[in-house]
Amino acid sequence: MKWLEDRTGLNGLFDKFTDEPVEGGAKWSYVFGSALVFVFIMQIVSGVILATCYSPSTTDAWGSVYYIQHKTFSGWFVRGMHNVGSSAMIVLAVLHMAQTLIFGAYRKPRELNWISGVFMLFIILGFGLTGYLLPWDQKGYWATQVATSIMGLVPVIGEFVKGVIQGGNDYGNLTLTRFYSFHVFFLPAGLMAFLSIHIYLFRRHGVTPHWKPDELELKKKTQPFWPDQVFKDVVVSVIVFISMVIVVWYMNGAELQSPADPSSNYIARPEWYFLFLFQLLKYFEGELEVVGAIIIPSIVASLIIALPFIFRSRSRSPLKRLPVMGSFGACLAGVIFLTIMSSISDSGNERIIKQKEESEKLAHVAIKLAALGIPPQGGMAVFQNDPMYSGEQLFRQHCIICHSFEGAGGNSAPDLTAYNSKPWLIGFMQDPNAPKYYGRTKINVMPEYDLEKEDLSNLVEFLLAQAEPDKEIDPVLKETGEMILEENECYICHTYDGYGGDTAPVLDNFASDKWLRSMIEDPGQKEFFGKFNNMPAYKDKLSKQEMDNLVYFLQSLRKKSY
Amino acid sequence: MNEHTYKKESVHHSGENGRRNFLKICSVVLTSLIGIAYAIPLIRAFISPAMQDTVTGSSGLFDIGNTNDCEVNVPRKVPIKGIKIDAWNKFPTTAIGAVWILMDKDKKFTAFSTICPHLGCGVDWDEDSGRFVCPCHDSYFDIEGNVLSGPSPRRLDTLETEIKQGKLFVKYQKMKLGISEKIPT
Repeated sequence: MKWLEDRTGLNGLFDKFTDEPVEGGAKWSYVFGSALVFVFIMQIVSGVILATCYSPSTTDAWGSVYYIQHKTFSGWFVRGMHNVGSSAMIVLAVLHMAQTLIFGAYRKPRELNWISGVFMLFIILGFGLTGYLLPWDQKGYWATQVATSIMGLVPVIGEFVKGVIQGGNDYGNLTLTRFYSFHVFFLPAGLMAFLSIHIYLFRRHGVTPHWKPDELELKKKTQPFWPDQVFKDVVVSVIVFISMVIVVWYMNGAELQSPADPSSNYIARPEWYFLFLFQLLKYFEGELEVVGAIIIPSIVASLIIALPFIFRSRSRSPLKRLPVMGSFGACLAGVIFLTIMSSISDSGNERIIKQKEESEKLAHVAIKLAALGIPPQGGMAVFQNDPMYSGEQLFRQHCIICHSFEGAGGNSAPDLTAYNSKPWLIGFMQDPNAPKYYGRTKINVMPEYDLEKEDLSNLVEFLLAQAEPDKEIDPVLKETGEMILEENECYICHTYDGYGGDTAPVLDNFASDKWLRSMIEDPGQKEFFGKFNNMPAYKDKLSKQEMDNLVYFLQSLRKKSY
Repeated sequence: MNEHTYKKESVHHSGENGRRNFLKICSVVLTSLIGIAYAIPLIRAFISPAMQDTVTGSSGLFDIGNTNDCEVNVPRKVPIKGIKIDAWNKFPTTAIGAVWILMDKDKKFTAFSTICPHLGCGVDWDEDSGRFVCPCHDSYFDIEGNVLSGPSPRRLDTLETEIKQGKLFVKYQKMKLGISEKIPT
């Protein structure tokens, strides 16, 4: 130890940093600044660890955060602490500010302490804003859109500033690389610079003690910063740390919503500490938007910065500085009011509650599917891992332009509600040319059969047995089926088991995966609708995977019991 | 000046020093406890990739293709295509490596990994001199994969091959680098 001390003089440095007289003695009310430094250090450390796994690109961001959250040891906890840390910093910063105001620590000659502190508050908000875009999930994507759109509202330079911040004309890779750079380089550098100034100025001017004791008493009660004040700071840091751990534990870490989907109509809500600004926007409509979005917040921010010059009372006692106390109280009340209004209006809105539930469900699905590996196209592509989900999307995208489905969709092709299910087929046999079936198509050659109830049921059973080519067909059913085909002259047009005509769809493997795939690929083939066909071929429009997913979805309609 | 105020004062009050020492110890102990409590999850998260398979993918036999298009004693480079899982990503079939395929006059096949056993560069076939050459550190190998010169600690890694219905399959795997034995990673 002596060896090290002789060479570095670390003890001397330590003494120099900590040997500071605290006039009037150490106080619990002075702890907030140190607690902020403590949380900031925790944020740096957890941020560095998160950065070892995070990838700032639109295709990888969500996946890498998913990986941190679900695949690394304790990653969820580290991310949770980082997330809660941002809230802790805001809370502590407001408490620190309140303490400064009550004790009058902003007064001459400490104006610059105040101003540097206010800048740090803005930087902390900047950390929050840039931070929650990074996972590239629904919440980050949509809530940040609101913030950057507001930037665009600034007269004259708005669009330019917005382009610089978000990296171009729209959200994309450059938005993430930039926000990441702001979050891990610009803002930390700025915060550290202001923090150095802030602490230097604080050491220069010392604490602003309680207003009651007089000068003499304060001098008499002076205590050293180390260890008297440090001990109190450490105790509070322990409390802050434990509270953060408890919150992270209870909330299972930070949430990760489903991947950013530019086509969704997600209801954007920012982090709780921005809700008051968000709520403010609601009161200004149309052209006045800029008032709520920019003018009011800018005026308030300027007033906060200029506060030491506006309120010049020299007294330490808050009772003798009622105007500043009143203004602070009014501001705080305003923020709390707006925040409460925002959450009340959301919690009373059924549409929002429903959408919240849906997005939670979707997030759950996305995370489950991500375990299968995220396709290189990015987070949204996890849904391709789910044939049912992806199949329905494809179906809605490609098929219901013409086909009707569950009361919606087009009306120039058969209704695919419960497609190929027993009731669908029975209905079809009874009246193939009804509007629900071929009625709206070119196909008009399928006769209506007036079958006995039992025959009809057997025929449909027989046809449906074709859909499961892996299963051995019951020989009795096969015989009955073939007999019905024979008796009703189905073979004139349809082929079955190598025998029959070729002007109607083949019945071998009818409604099986293979049959459906082949039909969708090219419905104009002779095996299907031939010259009666009106449906486009999807051979080159869908990838193999997409085709599989679409078929999977169609088969689910047959298998679902209606 | 101020500094001395409390120091002097502390002399007057016996026990004040003892109290301060207690506070110092408590502060250090509490700070260390937070440090340790926080360090554990941070370190766990930091080292977790070293304890997991982060990059995995298809394994086992890879279809190299038809054996008819091989010429005797002319090495042919064939990409190995498979699924790759890289941390969070799953890539559909892409090249995950390559092999040099060599057919001798008895139609027996040898497959060399294209990864140089020295430090992992891609080994090339130099047609003019009839040698395999690693362009990074000038290791040379003969057509049978033996080291002719250069820093490579072992011969080119041969991979198991198998012929099924006229098609060649290779059991592709990566070996540890820089050591004299051939050990799969």
